[in-house]
Amino acid sequence: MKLTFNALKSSRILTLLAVVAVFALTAGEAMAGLCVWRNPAGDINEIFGGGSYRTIVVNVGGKRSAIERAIGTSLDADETQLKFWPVTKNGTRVGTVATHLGKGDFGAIEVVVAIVDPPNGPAKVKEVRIQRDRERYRQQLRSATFLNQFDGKQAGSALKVGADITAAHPSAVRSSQVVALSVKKMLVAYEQLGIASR
Amino acid sequence: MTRMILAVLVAIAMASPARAELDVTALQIQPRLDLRATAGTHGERLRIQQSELNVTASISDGDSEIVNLNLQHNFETPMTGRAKQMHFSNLYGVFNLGLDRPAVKVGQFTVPFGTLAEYDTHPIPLQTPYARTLGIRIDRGVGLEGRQGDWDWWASLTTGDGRERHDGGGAATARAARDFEVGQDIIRAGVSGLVGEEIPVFPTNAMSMPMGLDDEVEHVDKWRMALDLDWLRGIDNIRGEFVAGQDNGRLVNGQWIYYEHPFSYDSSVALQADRWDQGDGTSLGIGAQYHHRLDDWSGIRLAAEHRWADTDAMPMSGMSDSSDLFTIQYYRDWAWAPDF
Repeated sequence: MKLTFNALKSSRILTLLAVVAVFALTAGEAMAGLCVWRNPAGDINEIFGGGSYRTIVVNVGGKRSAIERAIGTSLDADETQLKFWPVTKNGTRVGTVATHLGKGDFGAIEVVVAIVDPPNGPAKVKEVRIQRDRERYRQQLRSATFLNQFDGKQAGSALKVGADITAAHPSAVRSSQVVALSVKKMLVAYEQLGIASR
Repeated sequence: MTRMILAVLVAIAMASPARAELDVTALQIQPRLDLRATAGTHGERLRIQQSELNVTASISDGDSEIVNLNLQHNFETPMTGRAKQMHFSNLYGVFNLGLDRPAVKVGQFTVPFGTLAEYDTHPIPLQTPYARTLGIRIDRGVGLEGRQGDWDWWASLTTGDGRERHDGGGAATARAARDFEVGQDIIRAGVSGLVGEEIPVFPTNAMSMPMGLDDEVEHVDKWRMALDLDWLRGIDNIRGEFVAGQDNGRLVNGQWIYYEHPFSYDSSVALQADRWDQGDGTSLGIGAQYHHRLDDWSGIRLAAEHRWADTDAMPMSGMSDSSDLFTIQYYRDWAWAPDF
């Protein structure tokens, strides 16, 4: 009886491993890199003066090449889906929040990007925040001096350290570029994926 | 489980205005595989530690997210009894009542005590000391969570005996935490309290997880107070939890300290030590863990843990007063999300 039970258990494990192996071989294009939004209430109140939000997850799908051309580099392997939060106030869409997990020198840099759609122009950044990081120059990276540089930037902006962005600190060029690339990715994805109309 | 799903669905229906047109705006399905090879006092094994499925759904009324549903289902694990029940099977909904109001949590969820409120410990070989300090982790009930000024806060009323159990007790748990920025550092400090009746206590033991001790579990009236900290000290992370309280009037206390140093985005090393003193003895543990990401979806951890138990009573049959556990973990995550 015990032998039968162990055999059954082994077969379940083998079956599971086989299923996992199939997933591993076939699911390469079905993954998602989704950064959480840690403080929606505080961010919405401070950036938009209140409102409400809903969550949407969008597959990058066939837009991947167009996005990669626009940002000038490849999307990460886990960036096949992206997460956005349209913000509504008094029944009117006032903006959209996106979050992105950038790869810093010593851990994730979680970037919050608030995007608005002016009546007669392309979408632009209203505000950028950092909600979590493990970087050496944390204070400079989170400073208004560094983050305010992103205000008003659009998908077509260079968003490159040394071009239209100054590094947060001379020794934090790489982490500054990680933040800039996060903003660029989310602005380009916002346009390419038609988030404004969702 | 079926009754819990029905309860969550009923709660959604009650929370939703009849006129509102509800719509699922986001659905994420995230399987996870966790393979572990272990060696040490309890022998050598190669096992699927966890093969689980996490499902998250966001339901909105057009403008606002009404509820966020979370399901975690485990398919395979060598864990049994209470150890398994502390680890797996979240099933809850978070109902948003508005940005400036607390959200209501209903279902089976992690009690908001100490660092449990912020970190998911279950996929990691080195565990925080909740099994000793609380005796529960995932519990059934209702909760509130919100923000007041600079403080995040949580409160819950649960059955106090772990998921899928109810022996007539109950627990009230609360925590508040806030960040302090000091130069390059960020210190998150929290204070927690728990009071309850008929809450489980594992006998003092030297096991990494209290496996196979279900028959030895006692139920006592407890209260606990805790201070916790999560200190981003430059690139390093130092966490601690300092707990004191009573079990049926007898004083208990313990400490846990954790240090993590990253070498790069992909790799880090962590060290931890803990101590817990309760009516029948004292247990101590030290552990070390190395984590390396293989890619965006997978990684390995190497962990070593040594534990001691100094018990007042006769040692339990088959139990030693110290143990070693060496673990090699390989994990792999997947995620799918349909378009809406």
